[in-house]
Amino acid sequence: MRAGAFGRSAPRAAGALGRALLGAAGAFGRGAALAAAALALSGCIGGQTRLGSVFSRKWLEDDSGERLERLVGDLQYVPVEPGADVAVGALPGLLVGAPLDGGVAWRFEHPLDARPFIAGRVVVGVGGGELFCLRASNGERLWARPVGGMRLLGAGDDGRTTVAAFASRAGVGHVLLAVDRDGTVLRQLETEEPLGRPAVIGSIAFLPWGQRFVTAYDLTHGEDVARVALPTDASHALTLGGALYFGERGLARFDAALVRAGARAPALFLPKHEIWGAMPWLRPAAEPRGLVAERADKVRVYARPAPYGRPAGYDDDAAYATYSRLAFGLRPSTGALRWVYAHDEVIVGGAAFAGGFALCDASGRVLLLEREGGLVASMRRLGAAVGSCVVQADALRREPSGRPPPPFADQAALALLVNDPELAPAQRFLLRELAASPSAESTALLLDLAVHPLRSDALEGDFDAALAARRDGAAHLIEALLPSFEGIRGVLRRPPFGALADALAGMGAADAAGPLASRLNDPALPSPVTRRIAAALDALATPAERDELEAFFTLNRCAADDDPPLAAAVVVAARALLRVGGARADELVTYALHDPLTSTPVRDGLLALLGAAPPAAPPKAAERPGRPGQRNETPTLQ
Amino acid sequence: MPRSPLRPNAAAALALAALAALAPPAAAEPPPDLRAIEARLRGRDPEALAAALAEAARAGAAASPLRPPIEALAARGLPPPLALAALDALGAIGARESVPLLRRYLRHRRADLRLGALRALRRAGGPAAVAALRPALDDPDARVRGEAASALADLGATDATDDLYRALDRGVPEAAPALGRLCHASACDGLGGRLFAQPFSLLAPGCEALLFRPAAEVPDAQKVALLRRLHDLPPADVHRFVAGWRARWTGSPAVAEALARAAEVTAPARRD
Repeated sequence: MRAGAFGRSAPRAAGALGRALLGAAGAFGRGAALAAAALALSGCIGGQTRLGSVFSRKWLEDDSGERLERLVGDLQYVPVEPGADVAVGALPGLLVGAPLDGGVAWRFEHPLDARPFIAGRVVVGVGGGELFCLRASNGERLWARPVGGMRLLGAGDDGRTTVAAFASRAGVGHVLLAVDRDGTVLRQLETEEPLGRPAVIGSIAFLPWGQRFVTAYDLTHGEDVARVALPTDASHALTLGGALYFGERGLARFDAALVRAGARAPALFLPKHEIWGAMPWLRPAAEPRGLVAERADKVRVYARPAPYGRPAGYDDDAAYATYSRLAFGLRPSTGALRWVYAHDEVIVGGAAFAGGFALCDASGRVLLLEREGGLVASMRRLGAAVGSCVVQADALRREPSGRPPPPFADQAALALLVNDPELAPAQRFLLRELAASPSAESTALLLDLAVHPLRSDALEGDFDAALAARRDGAAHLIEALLPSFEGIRGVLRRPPFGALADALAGMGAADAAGPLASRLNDPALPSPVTRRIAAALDALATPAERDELEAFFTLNRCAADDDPPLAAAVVVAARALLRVGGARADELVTYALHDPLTSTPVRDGLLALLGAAPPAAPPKAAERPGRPGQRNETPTLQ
Repeated sequence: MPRSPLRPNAAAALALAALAALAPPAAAEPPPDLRAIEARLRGRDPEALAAALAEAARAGAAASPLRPPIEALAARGLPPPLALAALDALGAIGARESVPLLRRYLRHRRADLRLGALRALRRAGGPAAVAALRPALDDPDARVRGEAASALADLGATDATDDLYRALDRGVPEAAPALGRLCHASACDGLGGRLFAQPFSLLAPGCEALLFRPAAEVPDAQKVALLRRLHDLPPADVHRFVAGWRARWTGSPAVAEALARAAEVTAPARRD
């Protein structure tokens, strides 16, 4: 987008717009806090500031449309300078930066109250009672001004003028500063209305306020020229890809369509996802942005609006997301997962760019990932570990390298092998994606991951559920039942035998009966797992498994008083035994039924069994161990 | 509320009977009335069963005629206290014919019963018992693993050294002395080979057992070579063991000299 001729080179046009003041009463009260805030911003003020209706909620709506249309039309002729493509890390007393396209990394030592803002081609920060402005490409200090103890809400820059909004520490008074490149304060506006992050194009400042309105303010003449009520919460005004956007939860492009539709104009929201939910595009400007990254910085969704001239939507049909150490490529139109990249550090910042995603990690590395497949296209170092990191990618464009990305299953497997409880929700999502594939290869991969020593402990129950539901790859599951499996693989985790039993029973895998029977009397297995194995044998056992069933039955029929899952397993084993064991099994089970030494719950179960034997069935999913809502099994047959 | 098949007084009787079974038989004790015991073994009264099994255990090998009914009882299944009493009785009888049943009990879910089966297998002995004991080195319970290692040594299971080394590497400390007692020729080298990979306190009982075996089983040269390897270990870990061995040693001069040298090398630095 090109903005109207409002720069210093076009004072006439600016004057014309300046005359189009909205005639509203100036509802502008100044409390003590505001006065104190204003006093804190010392320095020479270059222009007279007229505040009458700048932040008034009473204006003539009929006029607004006409003035806005004129403003949009004029802005088309003002070039919006592309912002810097840069990552800036912050830690106490130090900023470290690196251009994304390969320039020299830089550092700037200065007290810091909060992480900085990247605005256009500058970095604006505050600390030690001073507002400072750096050239984003090399960290060169352009100017600094004392600002007292005000909190920086955001900044914009058009290459000549920097606008910065502040809140008083008490949160009552808000101040906007417009500063020239040489550090001269052009305008200073104070208000009790809550300000947001401002933008500036050609000496017209766009000032979000009241969470819903944006005032276009002529910095040259000190007049407001138009205002707009937005279709979405708006505490940010920013330029991106040559266009001007307002928003917070969603982004609304400032163009003729917005002017025509007004508050009913459609805004672009980040794609909703089951993991990240409906994330706001930008965090509220009033939220403090500390030097240390928070969860909201680590778990985020990123996207770029489609460039000006294309239908509203997402650039590249791409969205990206981070979840601590994991980065994801998403298809915003469907929410489908394109790829996942398992990083070795926590990701604390990022930005979508044309052709991929730039991420910044806590160790101070900046990676560019390709849009397709998430391959690492480049890596840069900021030069220090950082507490937080802000990334801006505006003009950056990367063409696909053409390298084939690894299969999604391999990427997901790597991501699942990060044993970090914080990642569990995202890993559960990945596990479900993997398990959605019905192939034998997927079964083998799930099994490999389930027994892998590095996989997350928090996923124990999830792997159990995923494997129990498999209906392919019986050979892999049977192999895992063999005593040699652990020796062959050198694994440290035992396979989830209960899940294997459920799956093999569900498949009707006759070959599994022997290996399952050999696990029935494994003293290392918890009773609920043994119960599932017994249930599988109830479906699969043949006379060849009679000895193991008999051993299990006799060893445990008198030892299950305080162990309901074991009692249930004994009864299920009895049913299997009756089916395959012949007369000897009949005699044994009948004897147990009448033996006073038999555990009471087992005897009760046998009584029910010998009265009427229901058909064999694997345990219901809700009764499997390790699931939420699991209840103690009763010895009755399932 | 589940009902226990054993009432409290029955459990107490069983405990007393078990204690009595451990005591040496009195010289003037009359021979057991096997018929009476067998009759009680046919009943289903837990107290009577407990008493009968305890008496059978006290009778030891003399109760051999009771082995079939006791095995039959155990094979059909018993509550844990009675099963343990049956295993004790079978162990006291010490018949190799019991091995198949004892092997089954080595897979019981309760570790105390597996230990009972293991003890009985140790008493029974023979190749079948050795074969049954080897898998117990991988038992989920550390006590069972340790007892299995010791039992294999007691039974002279020289062909179980590979299993014992594997158990040692998996953290079964009892495997070290078992290996020291069992190994032959190059099979003993594994102990020395692990000196730099395992804590010496874990291996010392194995080294000690090896060192004090007769020269006919372990040549002096092999003992001397083992002692030389100790020179390179952290002295603080080794010295107290070597000093103790040296004090006890009454064998060949070559080994005595090697012990003296090892004690000197590993001695704490003197303060001059």
